Amino acid sequence: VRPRPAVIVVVVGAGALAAVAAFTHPFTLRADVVVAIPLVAMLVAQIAFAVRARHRRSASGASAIPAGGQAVPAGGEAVPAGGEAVPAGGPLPFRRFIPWLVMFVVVVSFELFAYFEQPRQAHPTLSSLSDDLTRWQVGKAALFLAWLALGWLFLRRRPTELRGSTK
Amino acid sequence: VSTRDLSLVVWAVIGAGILACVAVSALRPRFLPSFGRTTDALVSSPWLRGVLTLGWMWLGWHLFAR
Repeated sequence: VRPRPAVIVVVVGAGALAAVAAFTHPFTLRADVVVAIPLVAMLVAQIAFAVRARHRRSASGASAIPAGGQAVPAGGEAVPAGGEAVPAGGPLPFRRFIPWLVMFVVVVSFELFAYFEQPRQAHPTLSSLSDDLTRWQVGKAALFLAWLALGWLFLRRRPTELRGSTK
Repeated sequence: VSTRDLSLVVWAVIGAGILACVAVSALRPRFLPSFGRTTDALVSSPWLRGVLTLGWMWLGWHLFAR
C-alpha cells in the first residue's frame, strides 16, 4: 500500500520541524516560532473539522457518521482515510478502557505529588525529567516528534464509540 | 536510598506499567484497546476533544518554548 502524498508531506514536515526544534532553546523567539507552527496548524484544523462536521449534520440531519470518518458497515470494517482498519463489532464497553484510565490517574496523581513537594531535585516532575532528555538534541527531537504524534491522535477522526455513549 | 532515587523508581514503575499496557493492547486487542483507539473514543466527544487539544497545546509550549 503506497502512502498518500499528503501523509508523506505531513511526516516529512514533522521530521523537519523536530530537527529544527532540536536546535532551539526555551525562552527564545526561535523556540516560540517552532512550537507555534504546530499549535496554529492544530487550531486551524480543529476549527475546520468542527465547521465541516456542523455543515454535514445540518445537510443530512442527525447522522451517525463521525466527522471525517466513515460509518462501520454491518459486519464489515471501516477504513478511514490514512488509517488502519477498525474492527466492526459495535461500541466498546467502558471497562475495556479502565487500565488506560488507571494509568492516566496514576501519572497525574504522582505528577501533582511531585509538583507540590520540594526540592525539585528530590521530587522530579515529568517536565524536570524531560530536561534531562532534551539536553541531547536527539532526545529533544524524539520528544518533539512524540508530542506531534500525540497531537495527531487528537486530530484524526475514527469511528470509535463507547458503549452507553449519548451520541 | 535517596528521595530522588525513590521518585525515579516510582516513575520507572509507572513507565513499565504504560509499556505493559501497550504490549497487552498489541497482543490482545480484544482485551485492551490500543492507546490510539482509547484516544479515538475520547475525542469522539467534542468537549473532551477541546480539553485534550488545549492540554496538548499547553504541553508543547511548556516543554519546548517556556
